[in-house]
Amino acid sequence: MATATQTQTGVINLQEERRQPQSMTRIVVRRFFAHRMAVVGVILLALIVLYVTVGAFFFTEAYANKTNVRAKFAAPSADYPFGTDSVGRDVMARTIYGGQISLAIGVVAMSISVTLGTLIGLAAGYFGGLVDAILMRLVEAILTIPLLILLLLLSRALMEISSSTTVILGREISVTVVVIVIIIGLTSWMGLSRIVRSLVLSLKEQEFVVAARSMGAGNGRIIFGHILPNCVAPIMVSATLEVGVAIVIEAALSFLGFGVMPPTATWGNILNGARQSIDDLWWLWVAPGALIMMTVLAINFIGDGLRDAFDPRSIK
Amino acid sequence: MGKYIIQRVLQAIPLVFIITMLVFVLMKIAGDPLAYLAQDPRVRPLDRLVLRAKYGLDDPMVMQFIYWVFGDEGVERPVDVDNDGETDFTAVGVRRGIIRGDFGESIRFRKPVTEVIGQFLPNTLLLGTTAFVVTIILSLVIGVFAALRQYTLADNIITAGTFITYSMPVFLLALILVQIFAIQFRRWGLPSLPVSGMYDPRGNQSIDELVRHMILPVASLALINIAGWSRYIRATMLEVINSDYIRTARSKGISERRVIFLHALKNASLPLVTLIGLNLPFILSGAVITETIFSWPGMGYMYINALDQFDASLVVAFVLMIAVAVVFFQLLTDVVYAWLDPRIRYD
Repeated sequence: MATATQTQTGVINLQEERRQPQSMTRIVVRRFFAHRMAVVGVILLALIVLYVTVGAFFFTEAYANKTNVRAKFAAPSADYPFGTDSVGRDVMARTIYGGQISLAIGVVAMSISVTLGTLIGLAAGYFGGLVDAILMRLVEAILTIPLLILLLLLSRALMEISSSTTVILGREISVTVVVIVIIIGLTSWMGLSRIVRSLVLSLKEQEFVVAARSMGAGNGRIIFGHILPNCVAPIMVSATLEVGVAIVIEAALSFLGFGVMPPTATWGNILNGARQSIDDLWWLWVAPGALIMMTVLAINFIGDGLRDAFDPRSIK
Repeated sequence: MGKYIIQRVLQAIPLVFIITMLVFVLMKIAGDPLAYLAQDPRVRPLDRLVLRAKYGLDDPMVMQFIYWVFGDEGVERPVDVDNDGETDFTAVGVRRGIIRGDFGESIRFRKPVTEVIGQFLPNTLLLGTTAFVVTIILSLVIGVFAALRQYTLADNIITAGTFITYSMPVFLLALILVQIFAIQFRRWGLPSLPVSGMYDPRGNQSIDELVRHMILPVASLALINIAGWSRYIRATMLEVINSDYIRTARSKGISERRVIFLHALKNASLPLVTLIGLNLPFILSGAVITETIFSWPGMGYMYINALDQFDASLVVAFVLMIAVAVVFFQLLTDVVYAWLDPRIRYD
């Protein structure tokens, strides 16, 4: 009882604290916030999220997508703080709405890839034998094709059927967003599945699993009730870093013209405008580029912090 | 050792088979290779039927895969143009199969795919190898330097720099370099660097011209890799420096220079063999983004254009070639590593 110990004398209070076992979550949270760079990462990411959400109250999405040919390639000014693009759209408004899409793509693609990676890793590690052999050969085979090259091919193959828009959560969004999210999710689970598999291989031989089995627990209960909770640490670290990877990959695809199509903005396809001309149009790429970089930097810091916080060897 | 090599080769064979199947499935997902004919008014429906038969596009999928791999020379396919149950025409297969190097013809270049790849590959190798060598040398220098001065101001500055570069997408770095060294330099009246192609449009194609065109793409490729690699070298170097045999070497009174460069660096460069071996095949794939930004006529640039025009056989040959190269270099790396490091058992 926290309130009870506070009313007692200092000495007893200290002993109480020492005796009180700390939950794993509390230890991890405490260690995470003791990590200076991780805190910087959290603050930086919070600022970026604030920018793309609060910013949306100042501009409407219709404004962000509105073209105005007479104001094209305008340099940054009071009217357009980040300038305008090749068809006169406000770059600042587009970085706000594009940021929402880019961050959403990162999170949803991460969810797909983490779910797949975890399930496949669990299956390969737990069942072993033929299941393991087939799944791991598949992982090896996919990993031989460079990610960007595979994604460009998939994007080209699937894009033809999707030059339209759809309504998601009350917003009209290019179908290409959905395609990109799915193909990024489907092509980036291999690393995590290998990590989970190797963990499961050692976990399934341990006493608590044998005990659970001897008490009559089925495969499903053992996998999801006993083994999965012990894999949380690497899954969370991978999930965090994967958000950053997915954002960069989306940006690269959109930059090359194989990603999200206008009118829907993403940080990547704002940059695509900069690819079209090598003239001095720095404002086309500085703002979205800096936002991508800061987001990825923040996510990498948070991932590093999480890794250290979960690591039992790094006791501080 | 011989047994180990044979064992690794035997492991690689099913992998290559799975990759081939995967690429075939990708090719089928990517759609109809004759779709481009639909837009051509000169192509009659009859011609399309004949072509479909020639390439066996209506065969069962399993047979299509087998023909694609092993060839379909002499395979006859009857074509019934008017649907009257009689054979009006017999198409005979002429493909020799990818196993014998027949990847088909590029629809854009109207040449065998292997020839087209042979035309772009040298440019990519030139750019990629230069960037690779620059990366290895600079990351060794930076990594060893940072490890020897751990936690000093210089080390911290290097750490911060690598972290920022590491989080930077390659296209952003390339755009920054272009802005500074091409656009701003020209404005300031300084000698600016070219940003497009391998030679000047009306140049004399000299070595000097080529080198100037290479500086920016090589710099963007190398800088990104140096960030990750120098961290890696710093970490392995630190591990080695703090090990017992280095302390022994020092206690014997060997000069510090000898300890670092002969004893420590030699052992620290072992993991580097893996890093180099596993990254070598990716030189072949070219740097899609960098080559596109700088219009460098290499493999990555060719790939993007082939995708744009849906040059299916070129795309497939390219993807398959890289995948097989990756498998080959993985094998080579394992063998070299086992040979270099006697601690590795290969039985």
